[in-house]
Amino acid sequence: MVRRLLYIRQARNRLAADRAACVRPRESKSAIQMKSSAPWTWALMFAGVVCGLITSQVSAGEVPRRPSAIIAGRHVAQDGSILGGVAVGVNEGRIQSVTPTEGCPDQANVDCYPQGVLTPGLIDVLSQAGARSNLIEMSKSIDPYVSAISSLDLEHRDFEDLQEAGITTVMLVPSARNVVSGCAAVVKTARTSVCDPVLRSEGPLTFSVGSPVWSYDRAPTSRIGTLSMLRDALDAGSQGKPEARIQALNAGRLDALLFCSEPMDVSTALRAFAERNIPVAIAHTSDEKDIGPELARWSRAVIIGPYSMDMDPKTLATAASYASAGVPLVFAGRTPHHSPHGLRMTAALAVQYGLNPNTARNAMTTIPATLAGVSKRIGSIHEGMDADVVVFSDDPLRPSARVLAVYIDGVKINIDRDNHVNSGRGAS
Amino acid sequence: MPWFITSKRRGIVNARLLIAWVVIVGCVCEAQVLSRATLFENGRILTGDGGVIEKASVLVRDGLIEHIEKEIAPPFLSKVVDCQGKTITPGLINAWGSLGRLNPTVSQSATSHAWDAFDCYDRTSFRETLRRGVTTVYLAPGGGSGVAGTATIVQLVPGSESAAGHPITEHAALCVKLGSGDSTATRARTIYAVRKAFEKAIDYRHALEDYEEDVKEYVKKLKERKEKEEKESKNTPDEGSNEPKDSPPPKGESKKKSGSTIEGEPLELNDNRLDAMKALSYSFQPQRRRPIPKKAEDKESTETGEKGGKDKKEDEIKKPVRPPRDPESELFLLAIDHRFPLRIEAHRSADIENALALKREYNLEVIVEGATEAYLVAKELADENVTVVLGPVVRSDPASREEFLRHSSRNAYELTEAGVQWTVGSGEDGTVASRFLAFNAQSTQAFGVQRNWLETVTASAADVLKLGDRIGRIRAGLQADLVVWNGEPGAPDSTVERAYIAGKLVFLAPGIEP
Repeated sequence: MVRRLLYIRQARNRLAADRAACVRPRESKSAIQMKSSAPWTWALMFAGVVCGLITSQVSAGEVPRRPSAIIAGRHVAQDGSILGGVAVGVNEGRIQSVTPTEGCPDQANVDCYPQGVLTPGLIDVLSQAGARSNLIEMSKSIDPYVSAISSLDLEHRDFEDLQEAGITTVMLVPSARNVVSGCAAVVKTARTSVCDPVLRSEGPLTFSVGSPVWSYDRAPTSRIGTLSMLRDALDAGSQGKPEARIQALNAGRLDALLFCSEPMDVSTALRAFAERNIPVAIAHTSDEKDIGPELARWSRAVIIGPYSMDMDPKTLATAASYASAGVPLVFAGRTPHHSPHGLRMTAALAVQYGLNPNTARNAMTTIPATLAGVSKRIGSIHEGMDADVVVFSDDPLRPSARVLAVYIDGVKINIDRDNHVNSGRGAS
Repeated sequence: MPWFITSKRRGIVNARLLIAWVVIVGCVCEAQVLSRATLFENGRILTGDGGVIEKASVLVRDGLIEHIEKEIAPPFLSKVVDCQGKTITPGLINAWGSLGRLNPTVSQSATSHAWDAFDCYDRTSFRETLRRGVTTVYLAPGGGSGVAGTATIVQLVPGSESAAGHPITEHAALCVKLGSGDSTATRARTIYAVRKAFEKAIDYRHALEDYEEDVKEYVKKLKERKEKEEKESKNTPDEGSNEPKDSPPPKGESKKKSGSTIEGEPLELNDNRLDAMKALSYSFQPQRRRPIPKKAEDKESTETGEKGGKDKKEDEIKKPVRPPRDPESELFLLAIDHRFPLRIEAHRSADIENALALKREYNLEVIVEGATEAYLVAKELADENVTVVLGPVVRSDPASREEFLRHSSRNAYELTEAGVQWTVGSGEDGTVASRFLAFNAQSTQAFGVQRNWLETVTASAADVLKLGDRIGRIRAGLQADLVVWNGEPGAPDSTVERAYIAGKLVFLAPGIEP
């Protein structure tokens, strides 16, 4: 110790003498390193510490919350009714357990909503949210090889608006402007690190009839032409022609979705599918005529909506008439061109005009999951299903109910955003 | 002998007493029947201003709410409505709607009146609206950009056998649309036209004020002249008389009526049509090529007339001419005088700011309708103390119209945070949207608003329409506009069983006993 002190003193004296003689002193390597790095290295180190602290704070905020259980004061059961409190255990993005419960336990990593209503995530089966371009190829009217998944952008801002409305899954469908428009895709509205958001890349094959399909620059140009082309397209598969998707349709490996806006086309078009034993769901919206019996006979489900407040009472009452005819009912939001909140509004308006509330709740969750072919993954709160659930402040059929929390794959989605103006594509 | 036949005289007296008694009792009964009270027993009452009375009864008489008590004994001959397990609320008020309106007015004149376009036979819409509990609707005049006309407030009271609707305020507001969906140039022209209309109204007022001063001056001068003439006539009683003022003019002479001459000055039409016709007839007298030879007497009278005419010219007091009546400007003046508000439909933030500028410039009472982008100028609205009436909270297709592109369902919440007074209506979307007023109001709570939706479309809406002392609340002394729900209002399975306006049953749901 004394030696060291003596050494340091001698070094200082030498340094002072050298300075006086304007001779650069020979410094030790460590001294050089220390001197050269001393002023700004400290600054760097300080900045590094600060940045680290900030990053850690930011990271802490961005780390998605994955509760081990979600508890709510009430929940929507399989039949659409609202029952008492439930605790949903979540593990690796799946529902591990569903147990009745009362109150909120004092446990960490448990999200509890004592006044909330837990429901399966809402599903919009007629959506073009997240598509980066037009979902239609207009050069030919029969194009079964088009896939909606090709234009999907999972980072699209549309999905934020859907999450805020409690919509956790959408079926991306091509536009209904061709006789055969291609395959839909079923995707979740958020990408989590747990599961692949694409539930089904090769979804129902979509068909369309009616005036939106007619065109002057290519076939078909008329109603009879459209129906003729439809039959030819369906027969192409059964005749062994190399239309793989049509073949799959005929073989029962692929399902069909038919867009039919005019009632006069419904029975003819559905019969074309029925004659070939092809199960088909129909998107037939806003009609005043009661075609429930025909739909019950030929169609596996009917998609209606979105409703708006300026619609005729007869139109709003068709949901109840279809349901009473025994047709499985599905509500559509047609996001993002229509407001994501329109899905719930459609259900609520239908209830105002006679639809059973339980049926209305199922028409946003369970039935659309079945129609989209993903009912084993989503659409209900059961063990083994994906933990895609939404907590509302009240019955989701009440216009005053707001979304308290959204979980996709058991991950809580951030829905508290400052900017609530619509994305400019119609979402509000 | 029986007491009533003891004597003829007694019999007559007794008969008269009997008749009097029958008449009195009959009058009392008739009065009771005509002003028959209605008692709503044991219902849950939502007063409309946030108050909740779990179990009480409401007594209604002569169209007004008389009592609200826990227990009320049914008055004689009253009708009792059992409301056990039901909820009673005030009738809902649509502060901005278009119910029962035929083709919207397109004349773009302030004199267009919403009541004139009201279809009182649109029973389907009325029934649908009453079925949802809406009893009062503010009818906007509709039409394109610019001055749309005057609005009216209608209650859906059945009138004759098939008609319905009764205006409780015929001229409720002067309506202006700033055309938020139009091009920039059109919107600039619209606001300029509105400003011009206000300026014209102010000029009209000044012209009227000048006219009144001129009239006073004229009367004063007439008085002075009369006094002067009286003095002169006292001094010189034999002097030639001046022509009486209202004598016809001598032949060949033209009577110069104020503003009407043969020389071709523009004819001013006065209020007195007869004077105007006279003026016209004088001005269109045919011009002769050769003068008619005058007789001696005529010559003298002509000379006298000429002299008198000259004198007359010097002494003539010009009668002031009233400015022609301008009904449009009169309506604008009513708005300037705050007799009714100016309702401005504006959706874009720029148009809302123009509305605020109009308010400041002419010191108007302004209510902004629509206000899609109000959240962007919420602070300015609060500073100017402007009330806002919002339309649909959730628009199914906002991209369909340019003015709705920045629609936000949290508009009401942002306005609440900024301290702006607001309410909701059904808006101009369709003529049947009034029936979803409750639906629309409930949607505000889904996007952050804490205020109960019922208060928004009852008490708050009544205050905005300046009818807060008449309807919108369940309070003693107010008009008995009541709705009886079979459950909690707003619940998916809750429906309206009965609706009353001024104590009169206007809607009864199927299957419900009257």
